[in-house]
Amino acid sequence: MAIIETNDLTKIYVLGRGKEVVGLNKVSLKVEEGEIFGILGPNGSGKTTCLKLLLGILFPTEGEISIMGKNQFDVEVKENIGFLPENPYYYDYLTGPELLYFYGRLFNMNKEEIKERTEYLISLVKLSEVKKLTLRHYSKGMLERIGLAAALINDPKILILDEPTTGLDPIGCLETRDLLIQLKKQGKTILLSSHFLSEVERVCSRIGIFHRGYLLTTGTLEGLISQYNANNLEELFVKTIEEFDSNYKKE
Amino acid sequence: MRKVWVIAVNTFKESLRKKTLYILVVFALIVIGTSKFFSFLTAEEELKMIKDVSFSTIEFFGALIAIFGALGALSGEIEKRTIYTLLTKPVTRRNLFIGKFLGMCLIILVNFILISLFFIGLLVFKKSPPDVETFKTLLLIYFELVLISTITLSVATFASDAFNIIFSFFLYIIGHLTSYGRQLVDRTESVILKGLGQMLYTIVPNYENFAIRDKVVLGVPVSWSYVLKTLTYGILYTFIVILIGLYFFQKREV
Amino acid sequence: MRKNKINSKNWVFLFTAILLYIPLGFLQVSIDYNKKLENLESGLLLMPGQVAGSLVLSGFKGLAADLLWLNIENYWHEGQHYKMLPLLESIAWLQPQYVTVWSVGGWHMSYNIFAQVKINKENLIEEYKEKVKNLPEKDKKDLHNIIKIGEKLNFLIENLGLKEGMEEDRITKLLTELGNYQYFLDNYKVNEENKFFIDALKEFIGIVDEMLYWYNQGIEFLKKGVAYNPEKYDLYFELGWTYYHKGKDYKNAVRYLEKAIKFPHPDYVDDVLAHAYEKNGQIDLAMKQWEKLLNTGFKSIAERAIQELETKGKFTP
Repeated sequence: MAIIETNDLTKIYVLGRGKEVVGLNKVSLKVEEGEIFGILGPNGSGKTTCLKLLLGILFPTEGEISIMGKNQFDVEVKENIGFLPENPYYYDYLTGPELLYFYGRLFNMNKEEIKERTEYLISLVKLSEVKKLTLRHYSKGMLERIGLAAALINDPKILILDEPTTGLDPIGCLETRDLLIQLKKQGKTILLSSHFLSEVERVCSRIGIFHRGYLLTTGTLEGLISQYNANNLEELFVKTIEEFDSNYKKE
Repeated sequence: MRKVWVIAVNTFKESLRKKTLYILVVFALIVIGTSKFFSFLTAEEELKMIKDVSFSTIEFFGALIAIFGALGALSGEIEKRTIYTLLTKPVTRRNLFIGKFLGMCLIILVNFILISLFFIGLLVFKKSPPDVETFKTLLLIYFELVLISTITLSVATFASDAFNIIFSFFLYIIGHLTSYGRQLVDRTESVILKGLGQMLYTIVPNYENFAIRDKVVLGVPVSWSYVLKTLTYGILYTFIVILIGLYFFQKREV
Repeated sequence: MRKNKINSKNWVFLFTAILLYIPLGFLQVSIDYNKKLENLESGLLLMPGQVAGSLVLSGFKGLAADLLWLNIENYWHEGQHYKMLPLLESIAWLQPQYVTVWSVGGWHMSYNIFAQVKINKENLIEEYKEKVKNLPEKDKKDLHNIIKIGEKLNFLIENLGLKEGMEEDRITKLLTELGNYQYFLDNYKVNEENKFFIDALKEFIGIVDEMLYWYNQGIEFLKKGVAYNPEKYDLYFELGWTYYHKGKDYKNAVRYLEKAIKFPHPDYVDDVLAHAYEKNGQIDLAMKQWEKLLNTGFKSIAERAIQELETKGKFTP
C-alpha cells in the first residue's frame, strides 16, 4: 500500500483581479513505503507546490491526499514526517543543539531522548565542531546539514526533502547521498525534489517528472529510459518535456 | 498543552535576543528617571510628576513593545519562513497561535515588570511607597497591553506589516476616544446614528476603561468592582480577538 | 475519501467571536455605570478645552498638565506673572479636578500679581512723593486738589489688602470713586508745572484699578474651581481665606468657610472660621467653633479665645 498517495491533486493560486495561476494540475502520485522517490522538473514546475501540499502548508483546490492512510493534517502523520525546506530557514539566534532541542520538544520527546538524538545527529551531519555557534554564523552548507539533522530529530518514517543538495560542495553531496541510502536501508521512505539529475540518478528508486504543474510521467529509471528511448536521465528529461510542450502548443 | 508552552518560551527567548525591545525598555527607564530631577517643585507636585510620567511611559512604551513584539512574533516568522518548519511539526495551528499569544504575554510581562519596578523603586526612594491604587493602575495597564498586543497578533494573520502597524496605532488612539464619541452620539436625535454609534462603541476596544491613572494620581479611589469589571472586559475582548486570529490563521497559506 | 480541509469547523471561531461581542457590550454598559458612580468619567461637556486637549493627547492629560506646570514655575521665578495666567487656565482645562491648580492660580492672582502691580510702579510712587515734598508752598496751594487725590490714592495703594479691606460693596464704591477722579483729571487744565502730577495720578488710578481687578480675578478663578470640585474642602477654604485675609470681607469668608467644614478638613479650617465669625459679629458662633477646637492641637488658643471673648468680647486682633 502506497504510503503517500495523491489523487487528481490540483492547486490554483488566485492572484487578485481575477488572475489565476495553476500551481499543480491533477497530479496523481504514489510513493511506496521504503523507497526513495525523486521528483524532477524545471523551476516553477510545481515540485515545491506538491511538497507543500503534502505537508499541509498549502491547501489543495481540488483532489485528495493520503499519507499513511490519513489526511495530511493529522497529528499522527506529522509525528512521522521530517521536512527539509528548500532554503534553510531557522532561528538564527539559536545554536545547532538548541534548534534540535526546540523541535524535539515539539515532538513530545523528553530531554534525555533529545540529548541522545542530538549527539548522534550532530556528529552524523558533521557539525560537532560548531556546537556552540549560533546559526547566524553558519554557511549555507552548514544550514543545509543542520536542517537535515532537524528533519531527522524525531526519527521519522517519511522524509520529505526539497532540494537537499543546494549549496553543498561535491563532498557534501556525496555524504548526503550516502546518508540517504543509509536511511533507506533503515526502512524510511524518502521523497525528494531536485534538479540535479546526477544526484537523482544515483539515489532514487523511482522518479516523477513535473512540468508546468503537470506530472508528466512516473516510474523506475530503467523503465522510463527504455520507454522513451533515451540513453540517460538527461535525455529522458528533455524528451518528456519537449513532448509535452509540443502537445501543449497544439492545444 | 506542553507544545503550546514550548512555542511560548521560544517566542519569548526570541524577543530576548532582539535588540529593538531593549531599546524601548531603556528609553522608558530614561524617561522615568528624568522625572526625578524636578526637585524644585514642591514635594507633592514632584510626586505627581513622577507618577504621571511613569504611568504614561509604562503605557506608551508598553504599547510600543506590545505592538512591535507581536509583529516580530508572527509576521517575523512568516517573513523569515521559519514558520514552515513549525507548520510541519505535529502542532496544530491553533496551538501554534496560542503559543505565540502566551509568548507575547510573557514578553510584555517581563518588560512591564522591569519598568514598573524601577518606577516603584523611585517612589520608595521618594519616601512615598506605592499604595493599592497604584497596583490597581499597573494591573489594568498590563491587561490593556495584552489586549493591544493580541490585536496586532491577530491582524498579522491576514494583513501585511505596514497595514498592521498603522492599524494598531490608529486603533490605539481611537480606543482612547470612544467614550467621547459615544457622548457626542448620545446627544444626536437620530435613532439610527445612536444605534450605529453604540455598535461602534462596543466593537472598538475601549482603552479608556483601563486609564484610571489620571484619577488615581489625583487621589480619587477606584473600587475593586470597577477594576474587576474592567479586567473581565480585557480578558473577554482578548479572547474574542484570539478567536478571530485563530479563524484567519487556520485559513492562512504561507 | 478523506477530508482534506484543515478544519471544516473553522467558522465556529469567527461565529463565536461575533457572538461574544454581545456580552461584551453589556459589560461595557456596566463599566460605564461604575464610571459615573465613581466619578471616573471624563465628561465631554465638562470643558471644551478638555476635549481638545484629549484629542491631541489621547490619555496623557495628567502628563500634559505637569509639563505646563513646569512652565508656570518658570514664569514665576522669572517674574513674568502675566504669562502664567493662560497656562493656569489651560491646566485647569485639562485637569479640573487637580485642586492645586485652582488654589495656586487663585493665590497667584489675588496675592502675587496683586502685589506686583504696585511693585512695578514703585519708582514712580517714590518720585511723586519726592516731588510733592519739594514743591514750593505756592504750588502746593495751586495743586491742592491734585495732592489730596494723590494722598488718597497712595493710601489705597499702600493699604488695600492689608489694613484696608475689599468687601463687595466697598469695591463698588471704590470703583465709582476712581471713576470720579479719572473724570476730574481728564478735565483738568494741563500745563507744564502740573503735567507730571496729573500723569502720575492717572497711573495711580490704574494701579488701584488693577489691584482690585486681580483680587477679583483670583476670587472668580477659585469659584470656578469650586464648581468642578464641590465635594472637597480645599477650594472652599481657599476662597474663605482669600476673602478673610486679603479682602477683609468677613461675610463672604464665613459663607465659604461654613461650606468647607461640611467636608473632611484639617483643624486650621475651623480655626479660621472661628476668627471669621468673630470679625463678622457672630460671637456666639465663634464661641461654638472654639469649643470644637478644645479637643485639637488648637487647644491652648481655643481656651484663650473663649476666655477673652467671654470677658472682653474680642479676641482676634
